[in-house]
Amino acid sequence: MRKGIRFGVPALAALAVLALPASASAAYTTPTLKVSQSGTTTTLSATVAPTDDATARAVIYAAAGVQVTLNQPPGTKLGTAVAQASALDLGGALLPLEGDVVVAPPGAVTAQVQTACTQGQAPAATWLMSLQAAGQPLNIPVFVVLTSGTEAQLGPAKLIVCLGPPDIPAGAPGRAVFGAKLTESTLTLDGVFGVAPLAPWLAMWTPYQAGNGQPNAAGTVASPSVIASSALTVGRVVRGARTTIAGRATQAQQGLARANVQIFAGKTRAALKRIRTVRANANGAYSFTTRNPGPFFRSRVVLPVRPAPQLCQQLAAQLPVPCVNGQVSGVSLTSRVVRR
Amino acid sequence: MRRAALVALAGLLAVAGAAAGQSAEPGVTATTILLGGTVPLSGEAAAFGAIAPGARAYFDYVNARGGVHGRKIEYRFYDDAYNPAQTVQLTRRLVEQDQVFAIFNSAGTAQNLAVREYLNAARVPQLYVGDGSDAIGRGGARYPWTLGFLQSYRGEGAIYGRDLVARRRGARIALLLENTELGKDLARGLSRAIAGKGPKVVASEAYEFTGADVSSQVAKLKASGADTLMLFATPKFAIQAIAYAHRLGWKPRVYIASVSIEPGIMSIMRTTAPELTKGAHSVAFVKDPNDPIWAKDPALALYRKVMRTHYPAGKPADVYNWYGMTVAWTMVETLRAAGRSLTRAGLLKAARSLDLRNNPFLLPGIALRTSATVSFPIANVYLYRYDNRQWVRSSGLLPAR
Repeated sequence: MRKGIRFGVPALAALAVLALPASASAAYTTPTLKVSQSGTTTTLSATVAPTDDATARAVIYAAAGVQVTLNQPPGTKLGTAVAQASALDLGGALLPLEGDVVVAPPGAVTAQVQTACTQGQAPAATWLMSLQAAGQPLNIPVFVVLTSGTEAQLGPAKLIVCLGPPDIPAGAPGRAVFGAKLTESTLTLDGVFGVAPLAPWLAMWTPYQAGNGQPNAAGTVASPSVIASSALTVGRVVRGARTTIAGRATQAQQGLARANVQIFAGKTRAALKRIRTVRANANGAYSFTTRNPGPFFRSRVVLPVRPAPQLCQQLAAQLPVPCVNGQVSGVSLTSRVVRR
Repeated sequence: MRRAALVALAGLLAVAGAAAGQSAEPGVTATTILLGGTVPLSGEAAAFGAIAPGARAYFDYVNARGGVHGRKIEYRFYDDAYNPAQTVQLTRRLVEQDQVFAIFNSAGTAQNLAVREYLNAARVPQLYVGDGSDAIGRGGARYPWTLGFLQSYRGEGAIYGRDLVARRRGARIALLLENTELGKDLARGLSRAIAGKGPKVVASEAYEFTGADVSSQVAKLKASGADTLMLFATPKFAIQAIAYAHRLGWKPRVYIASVSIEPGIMSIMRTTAPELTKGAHSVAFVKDPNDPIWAKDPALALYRKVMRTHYPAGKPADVYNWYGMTVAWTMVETLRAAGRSLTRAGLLKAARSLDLRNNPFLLPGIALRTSATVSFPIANVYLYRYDNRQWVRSSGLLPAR
């Protein structure tokens, strides 16, 4: 994208409360949050490269303006979790983890664990990622804390996850099971978050110092992700036997530069076949002329969640910690059908 | 008069029967049988732990249908964290405090050997334990109260050896083996099968099951120039070995001891090093509930029903649950065969004369047979190959004793 998409970025003065000495860890630069939504289902995907320091704490703020529903009774399944961890005790083997995200039953998480993770804030809800690897249950609590005061500018609620250090001696209290270092985690939650307006979800990541199990607060980084609405227009111009199909692909009202646009044609509306893929220009505009008799045409654009460096550029001045790996939601756009 | 005498006799018999039901045998009452065992529910071998709740779920299923000769089976198991010292302590507790009728389904080679002497001296049946070592399986004369359940490790090693002789006579073999009867028996079986027939063991490295890491052993094995790696190891160390071999860029053909091939374990190995797990070999004697080939098998329907009803928190995909039910099924049939007047001696007699061909959880054709001297109930297994999705049968029925 040549032109930066401008997102609705809230004033982040609230983050002053998180202000830390500005010294990002050189070994903690890859934390990335990706957020997508489909109907009532929200998918939060968090990744950190295995070569980075282990993550001690991740705080994810829901985008400002998102409705959050937290009245599910204990035991309710909210969704699923798929994760991967690198296990120090298993020679660095990769543990594929899968399980449910449920509302924690009373007493499932000790007050000590909760207080240490939320830093004394009372959660409005506590969830459990109930994962398992090689016969060992890995129940990871997720604390949902409602924001207030200036912090509410970031979003109505934050999810807090704390992980045990993997690289302290085996048997030490709090050490991660198998010395596991979480590198990927995808939560798919249903009926918890409403539709997100054009505002970023923001993750704050704090790594551990290597080898001593102490969080490295100075190494904290932020990574934003925004769900942006998108559109795909299509029109046609007929000149003799030729038809020109043209339109524009946009996201957050900005052109999707260089996007691949698939052109479909067919004899009926229901039976269209792909005839060509063309590349949009810097403004997201595309055009394709064909002798294909059609008479029906349609276009389509699919893009995954992808980097949006401008998001961090917009936020950087307001964040007390380095901003890394801004992401924008993917698109899956199908135009209306036009007739020759 | 005669009729009155018959009625009186019947009454006496009924009283006698009731008295027999109130057995003086430890762990047996008119309505219950108490079994006990130790398994690793925590620690580095916790993967094996599901064999106990899986077995208990099957007992609960049987109990819900009236139990065995009117008695319900209670199965009490403790977590020994795969530590033989704890196995000793907990087994003593089961026998002396809990007064169990028999020890059942305890897991581990060193763990079962640690309590074998004690249990035989106390004449407590030590049945269908999770072990296939010669020490357990061939000790019938000296330790008659002890029977294993796994196939013979030596037999398993021999199968791998015969497979190499048949298919890769030039194989240069590296062995990673646990320094217990598990590793030694597997290696012994392999060595005998290949002796003078082509394949050669070019390197052998042992590790202690209490150890932390096998990275140095794997580095030495790679340096040997071997093209075939035998992992005679429990899951933690088998996974480590795969991870280290991958990191070293070593791509040998891999054989994995059957104790470490549960699908969850394999998924870790496959995620870490798919190039090493694809085409890996092992043996199996139980059906895999994850294998679509059994989708319509009545045993799978039974398994799912038992898991759903009696162990809803369990993971049906975990084959160790299935294994637990396989052993529990065998125990139920043994208790039935031991009769209503249940004694430890009677149970042992039944266990030492098994001839069961219809355990639904076993692979087709695999029977359970024992005798006064044969303590390996599983006589046959199949060779399997991993296709990075699941294990696929690659042989006919093979002798495994």
